[in-house]
Amino acid sequence: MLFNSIQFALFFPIVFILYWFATGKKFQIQNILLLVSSYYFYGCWNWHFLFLLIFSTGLDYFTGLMMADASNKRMKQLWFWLSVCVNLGFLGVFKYYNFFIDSFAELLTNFGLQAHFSTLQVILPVGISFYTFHGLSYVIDIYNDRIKPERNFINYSVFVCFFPLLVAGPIERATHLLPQITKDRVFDYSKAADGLRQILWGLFKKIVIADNCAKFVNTIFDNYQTQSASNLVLGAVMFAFQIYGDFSGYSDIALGTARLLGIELLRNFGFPYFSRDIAEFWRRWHISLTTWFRDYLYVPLGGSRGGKWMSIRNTFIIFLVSGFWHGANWTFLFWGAFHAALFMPLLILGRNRLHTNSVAEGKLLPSFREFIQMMTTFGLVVIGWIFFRAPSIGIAFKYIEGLFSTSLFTLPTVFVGLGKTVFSIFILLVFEWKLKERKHGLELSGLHNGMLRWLIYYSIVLMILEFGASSQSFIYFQF
Amino acid sequence: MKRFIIKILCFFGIPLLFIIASYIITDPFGTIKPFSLFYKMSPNREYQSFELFKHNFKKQRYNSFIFGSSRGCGLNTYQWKKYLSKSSKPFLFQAWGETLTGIYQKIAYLRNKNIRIQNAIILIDIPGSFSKKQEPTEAIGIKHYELSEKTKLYYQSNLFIAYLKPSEIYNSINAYYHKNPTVINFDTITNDWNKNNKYIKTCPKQDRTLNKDKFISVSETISSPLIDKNMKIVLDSIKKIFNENHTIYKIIVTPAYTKEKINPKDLEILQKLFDKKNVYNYSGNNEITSDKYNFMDINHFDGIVGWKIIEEVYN
Repeated sequence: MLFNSIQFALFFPIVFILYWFATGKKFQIQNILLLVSSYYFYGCWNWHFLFLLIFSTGLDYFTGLMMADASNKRMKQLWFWLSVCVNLGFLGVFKYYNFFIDSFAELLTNFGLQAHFSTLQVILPVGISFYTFHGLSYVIDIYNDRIKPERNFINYSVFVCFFPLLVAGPIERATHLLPQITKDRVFDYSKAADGLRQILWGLFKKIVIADNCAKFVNTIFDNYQTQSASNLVLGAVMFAFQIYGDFSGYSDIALGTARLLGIELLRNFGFPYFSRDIAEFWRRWHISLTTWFRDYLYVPLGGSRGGKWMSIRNTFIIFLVSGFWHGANWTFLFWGAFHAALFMPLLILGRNRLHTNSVAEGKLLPSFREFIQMMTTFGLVVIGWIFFRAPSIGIAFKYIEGLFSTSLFTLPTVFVGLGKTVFSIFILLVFEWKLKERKHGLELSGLHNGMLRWLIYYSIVLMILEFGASSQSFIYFQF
Repeated sequence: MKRFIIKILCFFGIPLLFIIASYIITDPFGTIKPFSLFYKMSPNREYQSFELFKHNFKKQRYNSFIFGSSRGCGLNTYQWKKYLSKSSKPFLFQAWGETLTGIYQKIAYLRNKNIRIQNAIILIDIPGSFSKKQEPTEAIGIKHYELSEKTKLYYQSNLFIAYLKPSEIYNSINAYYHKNPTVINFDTITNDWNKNNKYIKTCPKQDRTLNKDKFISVSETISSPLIDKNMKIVLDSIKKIFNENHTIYKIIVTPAYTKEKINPKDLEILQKLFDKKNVYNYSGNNEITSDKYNFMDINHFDGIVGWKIIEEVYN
């Protein structure tokens, strides 16, 4: 079930009404409702994989308890590694098995050996990367004595399977979400209203920005050989907005939905295209994944405790793993390595934490220097997106090669619907720039004129209805 | 909570009531009131075709059919009839973005109603006919409930969702207010799209095409294999019904200025199933597709090409 579908528009109000009116506001009953709803939500996509989800949940729940009750450290370690291996094993089989087999066969072929390995004919269970990381963070936290295990299976299952975050994050932490699940939730009008605003903004980003950009992106990337350089630039820039609208739109809807149910999720995006360098971009893009890798990989690897070189090595590993997390393709690995290469100079010069505040804080416009910094960062990110979008590294390089031609100075093709898409992107940038110090691009709680607020809401609704492209699945579902 | 619910109801409820009322009153797609040639014509070509068929069948007793997408607007049944037996009564079934499943649904409907299919032409678009996309959400593409075996309520709710566009609502109310007359631009017996096609056999090139400047020169591309297991089942089912009816049929892979060629594997499947002599391939780069004057737009060949195709296929 997609957030931008009629089914969800019917499903969620029913859950909302039952949640607040039919449960006596008792969190235990609310959790049962949330769990049943989450299984239904997931089962609408493919009910067969519900068993995998339930097994994965049960395994982490059980190993969590066994670790806490272990009589000695050895037993605790045993249970810990069992959980890690099984979790990563599932991920490996469903997501990476075919990639490794194909790559190995290709390697042998390069050495003149013929190899025929059978690959798996399975589809990737939606959200597996997300719920596996949920479970892993829980197990790692228990192993490191950061949290105590949750003894109620329903509560733990809601932590893993809570439908707003189940299939595309944000990747939650037990330390943040579990305490909210195990206590009574109170309906807060202002939070609920803001949740609705965030859902509306998320729908705008997904339906108007991402789905419209997708049409141009697909045409240009699928026919990159015959496109002019200016069209290739257009395609790459459109993809930057497509993936941002798609993923941050999803996150906004997820956060808003959860807030309507009285639960706060981790923020996942902080206006990343207003970043002044790559380090800042990574503090603002897919925040829940970046911080997950920081806490559960970078720090255990030694972080920066072993000096500059260790920090460089660990950062490089984080970027590669992060790239590979996105998909079993060399393009994602390259994308990770590309960002690592951009990050390294900042790290070596000790300038990676130069911009921790928001750009042009309290000002209407950025300074010229800030503007140039933002544009440069955006340009570099766009080049990275070419690798992310292209089906192979070779095609990505050919795409980039195509940019260096005199046709770069010609006007791009005026595709049908391009004008409305550019206008919508302009609206997106204006709102997000104006509200860049807030949590999301439609956080209008400071605007006291109620009429004006409603006018803005209706304008957004009208834009969604008028400009919205046909419904497409979310890109991050494939990860 | 009470304040929240009231505000939500006000925000969504009032505009929604207005839109529902305007939908029922203005009947934007001509699907609420019963079908009549004197009432609003649905922009959904499948709905209009199918309703016209039901409306006329008792009197016309059709027995020969063309099935396909909007590309069928280049063909005309008057010319086709010349190659059929005297008792033939042809009818053109069209649907926007018609897929093989859509064609099968119509053929199955005819079988279920015991309507004999004496002659048939199936028009194949590359890649549209083999599309695996879910049902279209645009008003012009939503499948007729009787063919897709859905309820009328489901059908209307899909149309209502398609209606939820400010410009659509405005246009509908505007047309209703100004009482715009119904325009019938199809043959009310055979359902030929361009009524003038039957008279056009030759025409000076420069007078033929519209929007010539929108034609971008493209080179031939070969489509990836599109016929999967499920589509083979659909094709088998179509063939089975044709066999039951002893239908004389032709499968025409239509030309398009996009020059996308059917994949040889797909062509082989069609030829194997329907016999090589019944399958005609006009996709890819050829005499027709290399001349933009043969097209009304990049996807639709014009009536002159339609004449040429019928002549070639039946001679």
